[in-house]
Amino acid sequence: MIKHADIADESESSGLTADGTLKEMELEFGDDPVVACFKQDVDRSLLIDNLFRTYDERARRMNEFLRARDQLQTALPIQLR
Amino acid sequence: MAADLEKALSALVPAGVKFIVIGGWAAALHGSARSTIDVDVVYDRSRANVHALVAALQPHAPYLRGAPPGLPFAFDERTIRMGLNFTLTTSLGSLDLLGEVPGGGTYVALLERSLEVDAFGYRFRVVDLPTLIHLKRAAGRPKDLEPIAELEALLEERRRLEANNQLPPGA
Repeated sequence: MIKHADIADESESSGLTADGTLKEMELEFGDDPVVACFKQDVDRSLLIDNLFRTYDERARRMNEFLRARDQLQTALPIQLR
Repeated sequence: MAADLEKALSALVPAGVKFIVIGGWAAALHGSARSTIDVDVVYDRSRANVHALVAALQPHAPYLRGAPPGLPFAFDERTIRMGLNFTLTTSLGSLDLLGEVPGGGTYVALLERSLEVDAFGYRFRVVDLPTLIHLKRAAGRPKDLEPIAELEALLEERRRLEANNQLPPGA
């Protein structure tokens, strides 16, 4: 179970302080059984590889992938798009 | 057209527009292996920023995504101020301009839950990973359940590597 500081607030639905910033509170992740089920099948090796990259490297890799995907889609017959 | 963050940044950053990247691109920047279809940003609703936003995007033919052609849509300051969230097609790619997001509020509210990153030669803000997970949960969309699982696994791995001082600088 992962804990993190959440941005919602139980007493005020806006979750905001008077100066417009977000309130701190603890939220438990992983309490959704569907999410927990999906998490078992996550390929963490891909994620760990990405974590060792810089933000710039991750962004460039994603852009390359998206551009390649666009090219591939235009190469497919229309009925398969 | 691809969700080209580089092109969106090339218009927004030099113009001084205040925004925070959220959504699929934020996930990718944090290390998600999933692809995305548009660029989602939460923009500052201040008058000066709306002015900068309109000036930055007007040359790129912004139009309402999915709307029939020929509607009298004017991408100007009045339109932005009268509205809030806009899903657009532009010559830069699909771009979602969000004045407010469920569970996250406004640009100002999200500011302290974002970090400054460098990519494509631009410096800009992206929502932090725990908050990104929260925003996806708050959106309440069934299609996000699998991406949420991946983001939570990503957060677990990041914290594990950080705890062991295994992450290189800038990662």
